[in-house]
Amino acid sequence: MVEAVTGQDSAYLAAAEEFGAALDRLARAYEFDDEKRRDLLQEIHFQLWRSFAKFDARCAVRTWVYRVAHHVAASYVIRERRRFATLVSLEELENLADKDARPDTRLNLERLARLIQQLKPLDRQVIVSYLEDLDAESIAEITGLAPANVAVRIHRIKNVLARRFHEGGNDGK
Amino acid sequence: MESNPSANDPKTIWRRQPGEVSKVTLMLIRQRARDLRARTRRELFRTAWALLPWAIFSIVGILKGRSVIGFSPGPDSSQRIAFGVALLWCMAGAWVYQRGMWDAPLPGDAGLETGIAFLRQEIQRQWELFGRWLLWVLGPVLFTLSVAVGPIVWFLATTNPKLLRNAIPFFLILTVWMVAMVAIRIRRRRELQREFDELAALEKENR
Repeated sequence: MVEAVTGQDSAYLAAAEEFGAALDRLARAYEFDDEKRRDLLQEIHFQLWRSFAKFDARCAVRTWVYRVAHHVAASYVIRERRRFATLVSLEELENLADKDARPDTRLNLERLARLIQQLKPLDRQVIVSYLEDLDAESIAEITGLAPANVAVRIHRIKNVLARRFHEGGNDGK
Repeated sequence: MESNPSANDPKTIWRRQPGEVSKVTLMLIRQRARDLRARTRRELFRTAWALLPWAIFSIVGILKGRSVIGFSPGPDSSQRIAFGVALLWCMAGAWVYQRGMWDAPLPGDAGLETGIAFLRQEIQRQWELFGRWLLWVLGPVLFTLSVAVGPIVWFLATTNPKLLRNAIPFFLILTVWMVAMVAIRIRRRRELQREFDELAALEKENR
């Protein structure tokens, strides 16, 4: 039996069309295993669909989508962390010695994803938003951090990326 | 934030990553909604089944006024009350704890909440689950065990102390298991408290 498409459905479909690829990438920031990531992605889409029943345009669709997606993923991290090593903050990551000893001149997706997955949920939200090319104001709106605080974190992200991947020095300075 | 067009630019690498092959469709989402309801029902049935032996044990105790070994260290009425309390506590515990576990992870207006606010609430929810676990899982389990095992221990202590000494390793293992369970949860709760404090400090900093 084919179910009728409701307003909630069409709002979700429009959002999924526009932000589907970004949600795919976001899931990679939280789960490395393909099977589990697929499951997390489905959960994100499912919760996003549910959330559109209450969407009343009090914030931009983009902010709404990113917030819901990060909330689902953060819950997942908190739940799953019982089995995983302790996560670190950006500040700690900045001071942490890289396992690979020498900085690598290659930056590949796998290393980038592994680096992100070491971070605590809030810092993950910042780094993923930064990589998605969102501006500091949008990141602040999604995370609830003050814009100045977001700027400090972005500076740290750039430092970490520069040190780990040797990609043109410290452009934060 | 300008983009570095080089192939080694993190933003470029991140945004050019291959997408998921399987598409999430509306049909799949509806199926997931049905699965979620089915899973909740399954969990409730599973809990009911796990409770069944305890319930039978307690009901027999209430009816007989003594433990299943037919020996009672106290008056029948006090035994009946103890078994009644054990039964009610177990049932209430299963219901309360289950409800805590299956509360919707996201409220409808989740999109209006910022990352910090949501994380704080989520950590608080996990933290409160520990309190629920102590009161509604560990509490009834310990109480029912003491109601069940207490008369046996008392019976052995008065009639066959040698047999009781042989049972010491079993009681030791049981104690170690319970202490370990509590210790693991206390450690987890401390971690949650630390994260909660960090987020609270961050929120204060933002004001």
